[in-house]
This record gives sequence, C-alpha cells and structure tokens, in this order.
Amino acid sequence: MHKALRILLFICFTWTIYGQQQPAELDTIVLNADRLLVPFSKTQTTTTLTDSISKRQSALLTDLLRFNSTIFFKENSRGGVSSPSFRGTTAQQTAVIWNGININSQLNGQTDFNTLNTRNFEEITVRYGGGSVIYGSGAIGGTIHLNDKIEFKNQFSNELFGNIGSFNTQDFGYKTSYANSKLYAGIAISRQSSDNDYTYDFRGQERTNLNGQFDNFSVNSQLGYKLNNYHTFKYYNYYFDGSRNFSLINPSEIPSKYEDYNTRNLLEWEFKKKAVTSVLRAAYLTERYRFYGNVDRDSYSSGNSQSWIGNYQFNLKINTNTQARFVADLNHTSGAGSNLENRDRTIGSFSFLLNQRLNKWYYEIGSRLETTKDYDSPLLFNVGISYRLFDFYTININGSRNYRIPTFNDLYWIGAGNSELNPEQSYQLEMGHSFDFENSNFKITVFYYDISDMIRWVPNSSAIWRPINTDQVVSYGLEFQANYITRWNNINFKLNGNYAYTNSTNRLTDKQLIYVPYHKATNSIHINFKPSANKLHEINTYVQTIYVGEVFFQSDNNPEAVLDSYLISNLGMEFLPKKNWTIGLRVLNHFNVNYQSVNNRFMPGINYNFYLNLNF
Amino acid sequence: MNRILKFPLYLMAIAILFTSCSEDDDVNGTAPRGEYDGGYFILHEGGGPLSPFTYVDDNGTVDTNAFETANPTELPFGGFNQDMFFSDDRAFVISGQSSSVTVLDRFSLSLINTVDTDFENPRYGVVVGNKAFVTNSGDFMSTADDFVTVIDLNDYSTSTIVVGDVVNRIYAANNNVYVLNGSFGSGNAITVINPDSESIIGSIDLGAGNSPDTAVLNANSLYVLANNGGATGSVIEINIGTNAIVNTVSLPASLTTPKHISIDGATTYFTNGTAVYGYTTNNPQISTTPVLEYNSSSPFGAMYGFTVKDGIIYIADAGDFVSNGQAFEYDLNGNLMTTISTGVAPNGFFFND
Repeated sequence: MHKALRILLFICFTWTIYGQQQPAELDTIVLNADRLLVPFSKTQTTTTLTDSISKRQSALLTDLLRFNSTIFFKENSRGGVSSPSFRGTTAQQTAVIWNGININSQLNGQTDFNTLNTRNFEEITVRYGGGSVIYGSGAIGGTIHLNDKIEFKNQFSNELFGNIGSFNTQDFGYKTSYANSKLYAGIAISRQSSDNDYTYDFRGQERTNLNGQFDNFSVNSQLGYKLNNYHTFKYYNYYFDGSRNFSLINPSEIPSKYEDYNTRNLLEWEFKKKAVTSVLRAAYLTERYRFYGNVDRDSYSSGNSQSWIGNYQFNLKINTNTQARFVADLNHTSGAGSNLENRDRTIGSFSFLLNQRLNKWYYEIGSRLETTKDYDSPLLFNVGISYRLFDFYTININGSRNYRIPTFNDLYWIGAGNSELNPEQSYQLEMGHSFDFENSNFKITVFYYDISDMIRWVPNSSAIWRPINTDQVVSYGLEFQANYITRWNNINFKLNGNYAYTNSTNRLTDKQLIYVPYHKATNSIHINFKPSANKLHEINTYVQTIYVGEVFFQSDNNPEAVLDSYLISNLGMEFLPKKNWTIGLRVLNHFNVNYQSVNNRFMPGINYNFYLNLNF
Repeated sequence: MNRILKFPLYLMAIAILFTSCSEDDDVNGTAPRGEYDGGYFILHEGGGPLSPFTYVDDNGTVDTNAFETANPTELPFGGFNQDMFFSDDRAFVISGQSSSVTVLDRFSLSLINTVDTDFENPRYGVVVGNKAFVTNSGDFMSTADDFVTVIDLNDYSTSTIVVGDVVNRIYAANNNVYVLNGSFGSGNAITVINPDSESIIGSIDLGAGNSPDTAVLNANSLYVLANNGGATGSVIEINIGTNAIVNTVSLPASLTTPKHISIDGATTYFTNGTAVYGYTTNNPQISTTPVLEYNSSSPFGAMYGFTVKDGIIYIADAGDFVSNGQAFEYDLNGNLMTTISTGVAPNGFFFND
C-alpha cells in the first residue's frame, strides 16, 4: 500500500523532466515578495513563505524553515529543542520578529523554533543578513518574520485545517476573519500534539524515541479599526501554551520536561496624511518557562520576564523615490526566576533610516543609537546599495554592524551574572547578484562576518562559571537561490532551490564551529495539474528535499567525530475534489533515512500525514 | 562513516592486543587474570553514549576502544561517566546521564550487567564486601533528598539510604563508608555509614567553611581536602578508627583553588589550578613552589583528573569538553614523560591492579 503510493507519487515527479516552455506568471511567493512589511531590506535577500507553503509542512517552524531556507537546525529530536545556525552564527544570533517586534527570549536570548506554530501566521519571511538597526539584538545571521495581515476590504472567511499523522501526531486549526472597509477581526486557534514515539536505528539496534511527546495550544488574533482616512488602530495578540518532554537517549535516563507559556500584545495607532506616516506602538510581552528535571516530581526551576515596549515611527516620503524614517523605542523588561535576581532593565534607542531610488541606483542607510545602564551599546549602522546593470541583472552590496546584547541570564544569574558584559558585535558585508527573467530568477550572494566579544560561560579563578566576552568567529560563505516556473499544457511547474556553503571558524583555533555544516541544499518541486474540462478537479503534487553535509560535533574537528551527511525527501499530493476543499497526503522521509542533526539524537524514518483543508 | 571506520579499528585493536599480550606474559611471574590485568583506565565524562574509557596497559600501549574491543556486539554506553570503581573481579562505571551503573568483568572487560534502578544523578561509588555504595545528587533543586544507592552484588538488586545532606565522593575503610558532604563549596561534613546495617551511624563536622572536595585514604587516616570558597583551604586528617579529626593542615593562602589530593609514599600531593604541590605527609611544611606546573588552554578542564602513583604524576586535561582530551604522565621532578590522547573529557585515573 505504502509502496504503491510512493511509486505513484514518483511517476508524477518524473513529469517534471518534460516540463518546458509556456511561461506562467511568477507567483508572489518567490524572492522579495513583500516590500511593505520589510521596506528596508532591498539590498538583502528575503524569502516569503506563504500560508499555502506552510500547509505543506508540519506545524513546527523548524520544519518549514529547514525545508525552505539555508538555515541549519540542531534538533534534539523531532519537535524537541531546536536551535538555528544561520550563516554559521549561533542560536542567539538569529532573531525572530513577530509583527515587527523582536521576540527572542529575554532570559536566554534565543528562540526555540519548535515552540512556534506556523499555522498561526499569515506569512513567514526569512531575511538574510544583518538587521540590528531595525530589529535590535540578535539580528546577525538573519531574521525570521512572523506576520499577520489586517486588510480593510469586505470579506468573511472561515478555514478549518486538520492534519493527522504517524506517531499519533495531530495538528488542528481554525481561522476566521471578518472585515469591511472600517473594521477587521480575525482569530486563528491551533493545537498540535504528538506521542512522537518513533523508532530509529541506533547503531544497529532498534530504539524508540522515549519521552518525546509534546503538545501545544496557541491563539493568534487581530483587530483593526479604520477611524477615517487618516487614523487606523490595530491590535494583535498571541498566546502560546506548550508542554514538551525531552527525549531520552538511554532508556534509563531521568525523564524531564519543559513548559513554555508566552503572551504577546501589540497595539498600534497609525496616522497617515500626504507624505507623512506616523505610527505609535505599545507592546506587552511575557514569557515563562518551567523545567521539570524529573517528570515524576512536582519540583521545577523556572524563569519569566515581562516587557513593556513603546515605539514611535515617523516616516516622511520626501519625494516618490525617497523616504526617511525616524524610530524611537523604549523597552522596559523585568525578569525573575529560580536562579535569577529580580531585575529590571530599560533600553532606549533612536534610529534613523533613509532610502532613495535614483534611476538604476538604489541605496538605503540606517543607524541606531542605544542607551542603557546595563551595558555599553555600540553605534549600529547599515549601508546598502544596489545597481540594476541590465534589466535582468542587479548587483547589491550591504554592510552593517550588528549586535547581540547580554541576556538576563548572562547579567543577573545569582552568584554568576556578569554586569561588566558588553554586547557581542558583528561587522558584516555581503554582495548579491540577482538575475530576473520572465519565468525564473537566480541569486548568488557571498557574505563575510567578523564577530567578536562572543559571550561564553567559563569558570573564573574561583571555579565559578561566569559569562565573559571572549570568542571571535569569522564566518564566510556563499548562497545560491533559484526559482523557476513553467507550464506544459495544463500542468504548472514550480521549482525552488537553495544552496549554502558556510565556513565558520573560531579565530583562536582556526577550526570550523561544531554543528555548522559546510553544505546545505534544499529543493522543492510543486506541480499543479488543472484539467481543462470541469470533469476532473485540480491535483497538486510536490516533493521537498534537503541535503545537509557533514558536521563536526567536536571542536577539534576530529574526523571520527562527524555526523554523516543526509539527504531526506518528502512527497506530497493534494486533491481538490470540490472548490475550497483540499485533501492532502504526505510521505515524509520517503527514502527512510536514519539521520541525526545532533549526535545520538535521531530523527524519524519514513512516516505519513493526511490533511484536510476547508475554506468556507 | 563511523561504523565503517570502526571495523578496521576493531581489527587493529585486536591485533595490537594480541601481540602485546604475547610479549606481556608472566612479566611478574604470576599469570595475568585477563587481557586487561594491570594498567589503568582514563574515564571519559563526555556526553554519551560514548566509548567509556581509554585503557593504558603496563607497557604504555593506549587503547581508546578497549570496551568495544572486548564487547564487539555491545553498544557504547553511558555518558557523563562520573566514576569507576572495582570489586575483586568486577569493574563498575557510573553514568550520570543514563542514571545507571554498568558492571564489567574487571580483567576481560566483558559486559556483565547494567544496574539502572534507584539512581538519580549518581556521582561516586565504592565496594564493601558484597555491596556497592553509590552517591546520588537526586533532585538538583534540593539537597534534602540526596541519597546513597546500595547494590547487592549477588543479584544486582538495589535499595537506598537517604542522607539528607549534599553527597558526593565516597570512601570505604575499616568497615565504614565515608560520604563527603561537599560539592562545589556547599556542605561541610562527612556522613559515616555502616555498610552492614546500611544505616547512618555518625557525622564528622569539618567546621564552618570547610567544604570537603575530595579525600585520600592512607594507613589509618582519611585525608580530606577542603576548600573554603577562595579562603584558605586545608587538609583535614581523620582517624578511621575513632572518626575524629586528628590534624588540620592549612594550605598557603595564595592557593585559593585546591582541587585534588593524592598520596604516594611519604608525600602528599595536591593541585591548585594547573600546578601540583607536594609535602611530607608526616611533616607538613608546604612550599608555594610547585612540583610542576603545566600549560592548559582550558579554564575549567585543566587538571580535570589527577593522581600520583608509584612515582608518576598523572594529569588529565578535558580541554573544552567538546573535543578529545589529553592525559599526561610526569615524573616526580616535573618532567613530562608521556602524552596520551583520550576521549572527550577525561576525568580520572583508575588502576587495575
């Protein structure tokens, strides 16, 4: 049965070989799709992943990004702790931005990419390269943008999504929105859970992923009210409550679990008149974790933080080709926890941004000045230039200085926090070559990072572990992206490929950082079959492939301490039996590769998914 | 790739073993008790499962895969291997990560059993008669639940003794079990357990600030190295007949991070940072001039393991804990004799004699 299905799907894919000519209009999901939400990113690479792409992955943000970007993820198991390495940088050097607000943890400085449910968001954008001038701390390797949409046009829509799969995995969501010319109201409710008890081959022995279960519940809602042509009010809310057990390697290990509870609120008042746009934003974010070292006990360690953010943006359209933006931001965060001092910190910042298009030239500049009592903040800047040499060829150069500020753990850990810490900082430069043709585009980017003052916890002369600014890392590499769309009779083909070469070395030892693959590639092919007559309805098939090269898991780059490269692939098929109905079937890891992205932490082999999407 | 690489390594290791054994026969006139009679183990504390130790035989031949060689069909085990201890015929490896104790034949290294009941964050162990005693930190959030696991070596059944104070290193002497109530500066006593009744029979107060890190048994005394949170450390001598403190030697005030202690012949050795100091046990005049000092790039992994035996100073350096470590053999004049590449995070030397 499974085998027959795989053969059928394979036959579908062999069609692609014959797919040629007949241009179809470029879909908006390709590069630089969204210039409104990230207006100051035109000299960098951005990739926007729409809702329809998200539905073809699991609800884990890790899965969406590992199959659709060059970011490498260290995953402690499927659904387990997942930390990114973007362009060879650390997990704290990738920032996650929710509707324009940096939501990396105030406590540990990073985002666990398996604690975000993609079903909540309208679209997710990957922005490659530095962005601290706009997005603040951690925007070094790149940024991930989770965006909601509020539009004032008449509509009432409802959507039900249900996905069930192997290992008792369930992923359900309901989304609804109502809007007219004055009002918008939308809500998305999602729940995801899995027993996650897959088996894997552990050096010739079959083992089960024990204590790997997870479940989470999240709600995302938006309200918008357009008072008149000048004033608009918007409110965004996000709620996440998740529990996750930590997989065991050896069955006799003490099982532990982790609970996350996050809320995010954002209120926005926009005033727009002629050349002026003024936006006042107030946000309140909370995070709380509880770590249970033994699931059989009630005792846990915990941490929490609450942030108040006030943000004011003044945008002046100087002429049709030039805009200037001033941003003032005030962030007040208080943190506490089992091992943390109760502390507050206030950070004020002021940024200036300018972009201008001059014929074939375009440039953007930006600078950010920050002030706080807790650390010395460097003056950040960003300069980007692009030049359209030919209609089809654009070259861009971007240079920036970015940072990652010390976290509450770094500063206020009881008995160990170091109030003398400085932010990690990075000078970085990239050059991109973009080729845009009628039904395809390509981009090649080379990048170079010089990151210093990296914060690492090391023991002092009294054997107490404390964080200090120490390591220096140089990372350079190359990225290649390609998109191609074609049509053959009534079949549409869409191809997308990414490849990255990353060399990221510790300056002191000259060794490649652990868990940074030199090579990573992704590839996806989506085929849409639209019968000309109405008798048969649409069929979509797709294949998603990733290749991850070898990684070192020892810092001495010991050739015996290497995780094998792997190539894994998913196949999917969607049937649209009625208008607004989608039935999907996916075979994940259909080559049944036994692989691991963290040493001794194996991922599932072949497994299956069935999903149903209803729009009404 | 690992698996493909390892098979030739097994063959090679077996070949080396075979040749070294044939040369080795009857060096001291008694028949060896097995392939791994004599020599010493360097325990690996890296995240597991991993090859548990490096074995160095009496000729200095190094085998980082001795366990795999002896047990070609078994998987590497453990992780965060904290301690290794012996009975007459068995070797025990404590894995903190797996919350288990792996039992091996002491001289053939063949796997006998894995005990995984009644452990939670196990630390150190010792054998008295037909029982093994293993300390456990229990829940890291509390010291009140710290306990000792008792393993019956006849059937590997287990039971526990709640200590209710920090537990860490453990020693056996004079039919008593001594549990040091000290870990990273907290706790300042020693709990005494009767191994027959498996009950706590007393506590030795070391005085405020004296937190026992480690100890060494010699003749009728247990010499306890206590640090004092950066203040003057000391070596406290406890008579194992009376369980009373009989002498306290204060270490020089400039040596703020004493870590290991070892006695070889008439000399007591202790470490501070990357330096080794020595003094005559019965006449403690301590010079601040070290016996030796070595260079380490590692802030925490330096001097991660240490012992002195038969005129050789053994030092293990764990580096950054995510790369292969190193072990060194020095003579008593501080001359480096041998450097050994080990697995990840070598933390101690365990002699199989």
